[in-house]
Amino acid sequence: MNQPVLHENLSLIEVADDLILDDLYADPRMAQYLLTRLSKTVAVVAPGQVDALLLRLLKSGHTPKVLEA
Amino acid sequence: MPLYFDAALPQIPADRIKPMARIWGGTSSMRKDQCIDCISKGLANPAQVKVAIDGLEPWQRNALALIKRMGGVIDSHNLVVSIMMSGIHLPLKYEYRNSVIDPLFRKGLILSKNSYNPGSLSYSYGDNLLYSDERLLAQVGFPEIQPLNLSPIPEPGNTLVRRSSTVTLDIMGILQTIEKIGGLRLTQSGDVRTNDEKKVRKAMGWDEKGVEIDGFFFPDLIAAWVGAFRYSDLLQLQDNNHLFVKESPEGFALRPFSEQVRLLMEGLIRSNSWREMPTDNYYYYGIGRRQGRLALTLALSALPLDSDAFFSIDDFDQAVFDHIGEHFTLGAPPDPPYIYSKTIQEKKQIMADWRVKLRANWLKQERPWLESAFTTWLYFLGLVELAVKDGRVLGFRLTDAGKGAFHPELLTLNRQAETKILSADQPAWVVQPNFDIIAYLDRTSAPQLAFLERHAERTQTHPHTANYRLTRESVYRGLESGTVLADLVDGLKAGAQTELPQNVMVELREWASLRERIVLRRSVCLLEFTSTEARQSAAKSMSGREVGDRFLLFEQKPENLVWPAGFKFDPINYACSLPKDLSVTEHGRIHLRHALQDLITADQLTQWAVSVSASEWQLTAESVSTQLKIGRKITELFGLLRDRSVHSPPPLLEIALHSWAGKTYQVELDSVVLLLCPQEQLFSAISTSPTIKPFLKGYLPPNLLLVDVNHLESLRLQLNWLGCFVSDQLRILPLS
Repeated sequence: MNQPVLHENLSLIEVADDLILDDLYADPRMAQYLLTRLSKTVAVVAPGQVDALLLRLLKSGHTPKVLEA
Repeated sequence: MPLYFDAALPQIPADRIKPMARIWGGTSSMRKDQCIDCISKGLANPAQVKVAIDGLEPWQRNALALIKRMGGVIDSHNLVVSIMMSGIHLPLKYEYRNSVIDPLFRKGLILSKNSYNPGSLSYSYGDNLLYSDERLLAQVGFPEIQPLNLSPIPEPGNTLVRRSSTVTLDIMGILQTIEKIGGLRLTQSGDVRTNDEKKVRKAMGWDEKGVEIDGFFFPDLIAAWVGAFRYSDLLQLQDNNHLFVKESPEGFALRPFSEQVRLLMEGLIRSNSWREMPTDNYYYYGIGRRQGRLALTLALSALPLDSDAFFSIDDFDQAVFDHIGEHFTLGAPPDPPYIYSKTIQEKKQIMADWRVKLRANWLKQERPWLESAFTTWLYFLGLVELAVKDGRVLGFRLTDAGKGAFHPELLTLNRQAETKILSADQPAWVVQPNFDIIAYLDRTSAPQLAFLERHAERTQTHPHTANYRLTRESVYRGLESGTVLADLVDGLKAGAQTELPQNVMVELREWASLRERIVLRRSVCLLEFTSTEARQSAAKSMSGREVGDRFLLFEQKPENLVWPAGFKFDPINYACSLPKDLSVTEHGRIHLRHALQDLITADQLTQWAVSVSASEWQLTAESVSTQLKIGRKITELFGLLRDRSVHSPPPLLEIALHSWAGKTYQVELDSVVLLLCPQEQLFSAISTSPTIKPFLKGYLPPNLLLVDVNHLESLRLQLNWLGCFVSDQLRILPLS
C-alpha cells in the first residue's frame, strides 16, 4: 500500500468506552458481526449485518443510536 | 399506465365510433380512421377537452364526476345507481340501464374495459367495468348531489358519538400492528392471508366474530379495516404479494381528521370482502354492498351542510329508496315487469304493484343493511352521531368530521381551520411518577396523540382517556425516529397539566444518554493512511475525524468529499463485490492474494479458520464448529468462499465442510480378496456352485466375488481343478 485507501460504504460501530467494545468482542454471538478493530472504540461491522447487530444489541439491553453516516 | 382511450378506439365498430367523434368536431361522413384521429387529437388538446366538457349536459358532466370519484373506473351498475342517487339524470325510460349508460358511450365519455368490445356494454348487468379517459376526468370537479328533502326531527335526548381522538387511536393501533408484523402477505388469489389477519386481530384483542362498540355490534372489525386500508392510500403493494404500511401511523394521525376518515371510508366502499351484517351470506362477491355503500355516502352528501339537525332513519331510508329502489338491491338488481302490449292503464297498475313489492323486499333486506351501515363503519369512524332509544337507532346527524368527509370539496377550506385547532398545545395529560401517562381525549389534539404514540407505549384505551407508559424502549424508539431529548421533554411538558415528576425527567435523560454510548454507522467513508505521520500530514487539509492511528472518518458521501489538489487514493467500495482474491485447497488452506488490503476479508476468514500467517488460514473441524455453535450457518462460509475465491472451493473440501457441519456421508472400507470372473458363464457357474459357495463371502456386481481368506487355498485348488488360469493380480484402471 503506497498511497491512502478510501474505504467507501463501510459500516462501523463506535462506543463511548473501550470496555464496551471489549465486551462485545468477548461475546461470540456479537463478535460474529464485528471485524477489524480500528481503534479501542471503533470497529468495522460485517457488510450487510448492521440490522442483525442492532437486533442483537437491543436483545442484550443496549439502545444504540443508528446513523446513516 | 394512464387511462387513455386511444389504444381501445380501433376495436370499436365504425357505427359506434362515429357518434363518439362528434363531440370533437367529427362528422358522419368521416371514415373510421378519421374518427379515431379526430378523437385522439381532441383528447390530447386540453383546451378542446374543456370546450367539450363545458358543452355536456349537467347529468353527463356529473356522471364523469362520479366516475372520477371512484378513481376513473366504475362497475356499470354502480354508475347507474350513483347517477340515480345523485338525482341528476334524464327522465327514465323503461330500459333505464341503457337509457343511462348508452348516451355516455355515444357521447364518447366512457368505454368498457372489455378489450373485445370497448364501445358498448357486453351485458345489461354484471361486473362490467367502465372507465373514462383521464384527460376528460382532469377537467371535471366533484359530483353534484341534489339535496334530499328531509324534515329535521326534534333534538333527541340520548345520542352516541365517537370522539375523533378515539377513532384516530383505533386506526393508528391497526396500522401500528400491521407495521409491527412486517406488513400483510397476500395469497396467490390476492386475499390477505388468514394468518396475518389473525395476528392483527390478536394484537388488537378483537374477537373474530365481532366487537360491541358502545352497544352496537361491529362484525369482524379486522376484516373491515384491513380491507379498507388496502383499498385506500394507506398500504402499498410490493412484489404483488405483500402489503406494507405506506405512511407511518403517527404521520397519518397528523392529517386532518376528516381526511383520515374519508380515506378509510373510500377504502371501505371499494372493499368487497367484509359485510355489515354477519347474517348476510348471500352476496359473496359484494357487488351490491359496494353499490350500496357508495349510494349511501352520496345520500349523506345530500344532507344540508349548514344544519346540525337530526334526521329520522325512516325518512332517510325512504328517500334513498325513492332514488334507487327500482335499480338497486344488495343482490341482483330488480328486473322491471313485462309491460309490452299492455294498455297505459295496465302498465301503470303493473308498475305500481311492482313498486309496492320492491318496497316490501327493501324493508326486509336493504333497510336492516342500511341501519347496520350506520351502527358499524359510519359510527366507528365518527361520521355520524346517532339518536338511540331502547337500543334502536331512530335518527342521526352528521358530525363535523362527517360533513368534511362527505364534502371533500370543502376539505381545502376546512383544512386550515382544522389544522389551527389540531396544532394547539393545550394541557391534555398527566405524567405520573410511575411513568404512566393518562391522556384526556377531549383535550388531546391529533399532533399530541401522534407525539404520545411515538414516544410512549399505549396500554389501555377508554372512551374518555387513553393510558400510556414511558419506557426505555418507547423513548429509544422515539429518539431513533428523529426526536431530540429537549423536544421530547418540551412536548411532554407542553401537554402536561402538572409539572413532570423529577424522577421521570432524570430517567429520560439517563435513557437518552445510554443511547449515545453505542453508535452504529451504516455507511461511512474511511481514509486509511500508510502511517500515523502520513495521516497527520494529510489531516491538516481535510475535514475528517481521526480514528485509531491511521484512519480519517468522513460522514459525507464520497461524491461530496473535496480532496486537496493532487491528492490520490485507491478506492474500495464495500457496496460492490470485492475482488476474487482467495484460493482454497482441498486441505482447507486458504490463501489471500493481497492486491489491495480491505478491512473485512482477513477478519471474516479469521472467524472461520485458524490464521497461519498474514495471508494464510487453515479451515479445521474445530474452527468451523466454533462458529456453527453460536448459530451461524455453513452456507455463510460457502458464500464467502464462493464470492471471493478465484475458483470454486474443491469438492472434497465441500464434503469436509458439510461433514463438519453435521452432515453424514457413509462409506465402507475393508480388506478383501477379490475373484474377478470376466465371463458371465464362469461367474454364474462359480457363484451358484454348492462346492465353491462355502469359500465365498458374497459378490459385487457385475463380476466380482469376495473370497473368504480362510478358504483361499481351497478355492485356488478348486479353480486349478477347473482348469482356470488364476492370475494373482487384478487389472486395475487408473483414476482419470
